[in-house]
Amino acid sequence: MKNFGIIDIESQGASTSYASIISIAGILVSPELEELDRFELYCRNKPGYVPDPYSLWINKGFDKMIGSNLSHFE
Amino acid sequence: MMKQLHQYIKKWSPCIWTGWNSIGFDFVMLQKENYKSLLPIYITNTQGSEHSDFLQVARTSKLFFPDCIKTVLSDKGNAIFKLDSLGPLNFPDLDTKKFHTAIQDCETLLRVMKKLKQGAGEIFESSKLTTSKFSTKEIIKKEKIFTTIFYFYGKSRAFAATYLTDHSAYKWPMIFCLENDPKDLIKLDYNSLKESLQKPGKWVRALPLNKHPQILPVKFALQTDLYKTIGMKVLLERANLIHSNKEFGEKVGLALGEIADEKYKKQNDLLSPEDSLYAKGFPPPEDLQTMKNFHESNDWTQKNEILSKIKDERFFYFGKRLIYQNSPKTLSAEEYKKIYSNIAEKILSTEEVRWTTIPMAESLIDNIRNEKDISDDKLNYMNKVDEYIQQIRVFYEKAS
Repeated sequence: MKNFGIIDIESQGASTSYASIISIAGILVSPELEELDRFELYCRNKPGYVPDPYSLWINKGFDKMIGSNLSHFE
Repeated sequence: MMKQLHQYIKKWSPCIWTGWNSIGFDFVMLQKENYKSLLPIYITNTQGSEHSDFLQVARTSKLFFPDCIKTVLSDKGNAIFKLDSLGPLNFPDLDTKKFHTAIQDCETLLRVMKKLKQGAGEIFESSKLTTSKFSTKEIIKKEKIFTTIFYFYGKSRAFAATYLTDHSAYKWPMIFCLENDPKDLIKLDYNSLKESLQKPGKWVRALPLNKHPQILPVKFALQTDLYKTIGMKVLLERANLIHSNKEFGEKVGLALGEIADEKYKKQNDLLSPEDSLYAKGFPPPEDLQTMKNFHESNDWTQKNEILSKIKDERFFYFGKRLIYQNSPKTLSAEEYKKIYSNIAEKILSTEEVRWTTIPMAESLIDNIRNEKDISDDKLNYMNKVDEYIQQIRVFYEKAS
């Protein structure tokens, strides 16, 4: 039986082709749904990408996007 | 972030990756970000890992076990499956301020999964059997009649179906919906059959194996009024008729392929690199090693040299973009100017395009600021976003 890797992505826009991820989190659980591990990552906006203000309001991601010391790449 | 994310993916794999509307959004977004970052694109659904989507499992569970989870209803009386409405309704102790943060949505989903496992155990267990392409194909070929669920116009609906053929262009299974009598369809000549396939009111439907289809025993469809009226005897006769006329399935598969080819030819060949992940296929095998080398190097000058060996122009384009984003000085002055001007042209455009432009963002901010009774919180937030957008505008306006 395999574990479940639950993930959720927050992006700075709605288009999967043209927007980019600003936050991703995951929780690893056993087949019995007991938590085994988790992560939560935030990153800065990619240079040259314009965030969609409405998306940023929904996911409240602006402050963490601006304040993150992690680039999208790293 | 992407490199750190891939460390977690490697550590947790193989596993069943899941999410809420993950087949429709998260996995697509992730694959496209992998593609643009020159990372293994399909890492979450290859090498033993599989994709699932608990939005589909929840919708199916609610259909047959209505008490398994509470939902609010839309104006049209359809159950709404948004995590930010399901969460507070079913788990009042959750902090509503954190909804739509990635970690909170994962936590809410975990609680939804536990609730479904408890209240709709049969659906939960069945959903685990269709996360792999191979096992799903095996089930639909083995079970002469099965129940599957399609979602349209805000509602889920059960179908009693039988496997018919594979789509000759897309290769995914096509199933025959047994509420239709195949008797007359089988008699149609090839052109009439093709015409029938292009009309609304589908008697054949696609069941892409990589989209976590919900496949259940036929007893579930037989709970619905439509199939109770038709009855198991007639459903079985129809399924037998389909399976004893192999030529019918072959003709359908072929006709669907021709229809797809005709549509494809009508599409514009000039797809942008951003839109070309699925349309232009997998990277050439030799590029995979080059991309691996690109990531193994910690020096951007060296990465730039490695990039020159990439054969597929899509990955070369995104590689140069990665250098622009992370180490612009590594690019030649000419390369830098080309990318910078191209971005400026795109994001300062006043046309209606598929990416967010600065004029679009400014207009959205104005609309939000003009909302009646806007809270101070929201107004301050939008002012901060506006300030950021203006910084981008100033930087890219220098290109003109």
